[in-house]
Amino acid sequence: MSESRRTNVDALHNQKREWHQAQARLPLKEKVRILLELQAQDLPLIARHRRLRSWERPWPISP
Amino acid sequence: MSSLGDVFRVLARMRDAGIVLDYAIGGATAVLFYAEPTRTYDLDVFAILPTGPMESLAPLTGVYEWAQREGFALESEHVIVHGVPVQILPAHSALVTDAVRAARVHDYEGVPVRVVGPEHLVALALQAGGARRRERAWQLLQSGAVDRIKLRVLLSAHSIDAEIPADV
Repeated sequence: MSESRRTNVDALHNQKREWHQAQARLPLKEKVRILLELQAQDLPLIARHRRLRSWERPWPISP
Repeated sequence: MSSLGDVFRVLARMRDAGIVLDYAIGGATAVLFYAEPTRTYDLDVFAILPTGPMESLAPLTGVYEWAQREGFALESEHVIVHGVPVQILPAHSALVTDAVRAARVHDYEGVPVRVVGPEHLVALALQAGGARRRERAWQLLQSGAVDRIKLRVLLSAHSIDAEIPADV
């Protein structure tokens, strides 16, 4: 791998790590809000591939 | 609409009523307290029960009876608390018991909640194994929340054979 390509790959890895760390630093309530959003988005997709268990549904709560 | 804080209040009430001796949130919901959000559809709660898990064929009977008296439905192995499926898991190993006893008390919107600490979460994930749990361990390590010296002591004390790279 050339030096410039390695630098680009390293920069991408660093950016990704920083993004994950920024997500980790979000206020807890905001993380719960994201979780509730993920549940609502993902369950219909999961349901296309397999039958959902009876308790697998978006939590009907506010953060 | 109920909030997650209302669910946490119910857990505290369960302990105050003596239904469990102690509890701590584990799994992906616990990870939220230290790292980035990950998908989960139920809330895992480790519990130390008044009767040890080996002393009864149905160790969760007391929990389920209490939940029903409180008006919460049971579904599969979950107690549905304000619509959130809560799975109570009896402390079945020394590591889980240790994780519950050493849990951190966090404040969530004014509600105190006991949550397994990040080092114990990594140790539990590595002990259980599997790709999803390994990913959870790595997320915690990357978040910077884990005291690596404490983690190594924990892994050694519970004979968990795992390499923790310095650059994760």
